Amino acid sequence: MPKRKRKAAEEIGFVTTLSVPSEGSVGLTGSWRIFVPVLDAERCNKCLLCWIYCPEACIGKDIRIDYDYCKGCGICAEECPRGAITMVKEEKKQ
Amino acid sequence: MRLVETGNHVAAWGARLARVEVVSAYPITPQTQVIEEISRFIDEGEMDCEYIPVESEHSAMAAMIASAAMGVRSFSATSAHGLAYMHELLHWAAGIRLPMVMVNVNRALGPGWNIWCDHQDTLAARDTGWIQIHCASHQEILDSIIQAYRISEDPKVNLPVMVCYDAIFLSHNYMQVEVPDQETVDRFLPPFRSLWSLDLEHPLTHGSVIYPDDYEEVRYSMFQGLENAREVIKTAAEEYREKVGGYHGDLVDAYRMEDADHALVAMGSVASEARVAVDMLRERGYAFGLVRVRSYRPFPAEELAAFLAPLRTAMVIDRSISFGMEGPLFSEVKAALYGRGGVSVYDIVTGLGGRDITYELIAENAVAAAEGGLEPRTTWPSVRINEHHLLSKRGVEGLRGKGGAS
Amino acid sequence: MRLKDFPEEELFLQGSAACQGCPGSAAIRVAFKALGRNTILSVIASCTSVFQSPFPVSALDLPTLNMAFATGGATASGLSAAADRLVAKGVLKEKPTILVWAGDGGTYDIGIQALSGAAERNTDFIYVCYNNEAYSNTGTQRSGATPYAAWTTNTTRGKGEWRKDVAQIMVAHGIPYVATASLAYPTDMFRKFARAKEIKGTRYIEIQAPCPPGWKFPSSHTIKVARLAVQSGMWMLYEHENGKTTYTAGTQRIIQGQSKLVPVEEYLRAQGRFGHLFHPERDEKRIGEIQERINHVFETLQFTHKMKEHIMDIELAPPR
Ligand SMILES: Cc1ncc(C[n+]2csc(CCOP(=O)(O)OP(=O)(O)O)c2C)c(N)n1
Ligand code: SF4
Ligand code: SF4
Ligand code: SF4
Ligand SMILES: [Mg+2]
Repeated sequence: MPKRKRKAAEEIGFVTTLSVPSEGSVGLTGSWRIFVPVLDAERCNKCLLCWIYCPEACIGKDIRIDYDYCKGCGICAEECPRGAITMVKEEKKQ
Repeated sequence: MRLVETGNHVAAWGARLARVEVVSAYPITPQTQVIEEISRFIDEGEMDCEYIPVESEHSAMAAMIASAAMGVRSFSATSAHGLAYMHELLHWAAGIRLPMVMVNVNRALGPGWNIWCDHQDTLAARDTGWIQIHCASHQEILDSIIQAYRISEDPKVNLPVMVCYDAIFLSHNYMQVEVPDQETVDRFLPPFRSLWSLDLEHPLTHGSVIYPDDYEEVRYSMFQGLENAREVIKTAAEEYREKVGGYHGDLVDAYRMEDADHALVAMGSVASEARVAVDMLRERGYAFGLVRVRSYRPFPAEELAAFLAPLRTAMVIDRSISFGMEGPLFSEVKAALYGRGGVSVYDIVTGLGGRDITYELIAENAVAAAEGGLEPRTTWPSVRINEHHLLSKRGVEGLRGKGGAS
Repeated sequence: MRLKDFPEEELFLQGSAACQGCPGSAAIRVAFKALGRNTILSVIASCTSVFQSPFPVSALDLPTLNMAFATGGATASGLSAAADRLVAKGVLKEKPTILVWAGDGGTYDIGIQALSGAAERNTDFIYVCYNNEAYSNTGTQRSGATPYAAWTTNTTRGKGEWRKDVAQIMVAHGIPYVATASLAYPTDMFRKFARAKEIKGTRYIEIQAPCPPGWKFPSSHTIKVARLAVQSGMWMLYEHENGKTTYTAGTQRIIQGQSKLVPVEEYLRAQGRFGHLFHPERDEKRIGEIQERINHVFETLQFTHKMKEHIMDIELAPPR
């Protein structure tokens, strides 16, 4: 009986498709933006609509926008009843 | 405790003694008695278990995967069309790397409703990543189910196990079995364990999108799990013999192979006829033995080669067919022997859809094989056109005559 | 419950693979806030399988089992039965909420058998269908939930059939709770999830999920389109409990006469998938058919409402 000359592959043990909860699971999605939401805090009455409507959880309850992840969908600006958020063309950083 | 029971009721006892906690199953002849008996155990307070009366086999397997993922010992039972119906989830059950055990009563597939013995169903499920143990007796069904949990839950394995036995011959005939008591089984089978589960304190996501860079290792790990199962099946069989009693072989079960020149290779209940045939052949001066494949996956390639390579003849009995090729067991036996020894390998496909395989038929073909009088490929020794086929053929001709079919 | 009382904790983590303006992730956020951490999630093949992000990381901060397309109901039955065992053995102190999250394809079409089975068994879980009215994951093919006349990649001139109504099919199962929800009405949606969480048995919640790429509207209009759906009567908000249907939020206001139905044309015009009803020429017939159906439903409901104000005990089945 011929002996196996080479191992078929290394011992890798138990590997299965288990994933770990993580922020930025596809990276800094802020890079997807073409338009960026800009808040005029003066106008904001903290109604929290933008907070709950943002599909990406990028606006805190303190109405701070997380630009690392904000995808620039424009929902917050569209829905703000006070017109406190405007979408402006993104200045791409190098 | 000694019982005289059907193979199906014995399987229910296996699940009960293994302290199964969730059962999800859907009725199909010839498996129904398994789940009826389990329901009765539960209703009478003899088994502490949740029974999910799902509305299909696809759902049976989905529910079993889910309960296993919660970290609970789970069981199901099916047959033929049911196994085919859950095929998608057989892959899922293995891929998810969780222990679970299912019984499959080997039965033929339609069209032409046939509830009798045939191995086509499990062989079509061969490459799903399940371990497959094929039984030859009622006692083996009971012992194998309990062993199956040990194998499935071994950290080196973590893969589902299918315990298979033949329709009617085993599922419905009564035989005597020795049922071990619970404490004895408990000494052999520790409480449920698995390498992962859905955990509220430690949330993980299972089974999302996975890219080419990562996928192959997942499959390789499954492959290794099945490789590891070889040793684990042997240990489980040995330890079971020691702690509980009862032994039916490990990956294979051999009969009169010590001084054999020729061998029969078979799977399932036909082993009984094959043993009779071996004795008969010995009387006629042919030193035959029998190697029964007990574990179809992992396939006992080394064990078979060790037994068969030095012989002159090996004749495989296939109870299913790989259309467009040959008997599937035949293919695999030849693959196991590749480059080893000069043994001539033959194959008979017979016993499909529950047709009796008589020891005379086996012996006759075995003699022909030993004498070199059998073609060295798959042959169908029991095929014959009868009156029923002729009547049906005349019907088809009538339809063609009318221009109804061409 | 006011927005300011909603929990702050996010169980859907930012930086996911969802499209800009995704209704699925928007719905998940509200649902998770209402249900909290003690939840076991199963995601059925859909956009959610993808937008939770690929191996080895995940935007879902709950123990999650991704499952095959047709398995929603059955998976819940397995999870729930096992959870009952764990509670019985004292491994879990309290039974977690079992949540199945599926698309309309996984609910209306391939998964309806498993869902119906689980509902008939009264499996203790919440089934959510986020209904983007097509198979978005595979590139926007029609589903049983796609509305009449809508474009999809395999109904290029507009779907010829009317959608079915699975929420009503679930009502017919006699399960303890059925509700519909809209992204534009987050407090209504939150309250329905919170209510569902308190109930044992099968609970079904269907959320209309306007999908920017699938329905062809700008990503900033997800909420606006969802609102128009309710205002025009194309999507109705209600909950059904103890044999009684209660219309809620925008739908209730229309039925009670506090606001008027917005012409459906406004809703249709907001989406490219209905563009062929307006260009190159106006398709009076199909626009009319859609409006007529809505009118019929609301006239009946408004009539029933007025009757009820006079005769207290009349209970009519909800019109479909
Ligand atoms: C058995 C099976 N058939 C087909 C598919 C392909 N498939 C995956 S998701 C999907 C469509 C999902 O549509 P829906 O449930 O509406 O969810 P959505 O993608 O719209 O979020 C299809 C057809 C599959 N995964 N499994
Ligand atoms: S929606 Fe507008 S007003 Fe309301 S919290 Fe956001 S920015 Fe402020
Ligand atoms: S633009 Fe979209 S992603 Fe960015 S904060 Fe506004 S709603 Fe969120
Ligand atoms: S296609 Fe629609 S539902 Fe799917 S991820 Fe994109 S926006 Fe969300
Ligand atoms: Mg969809």
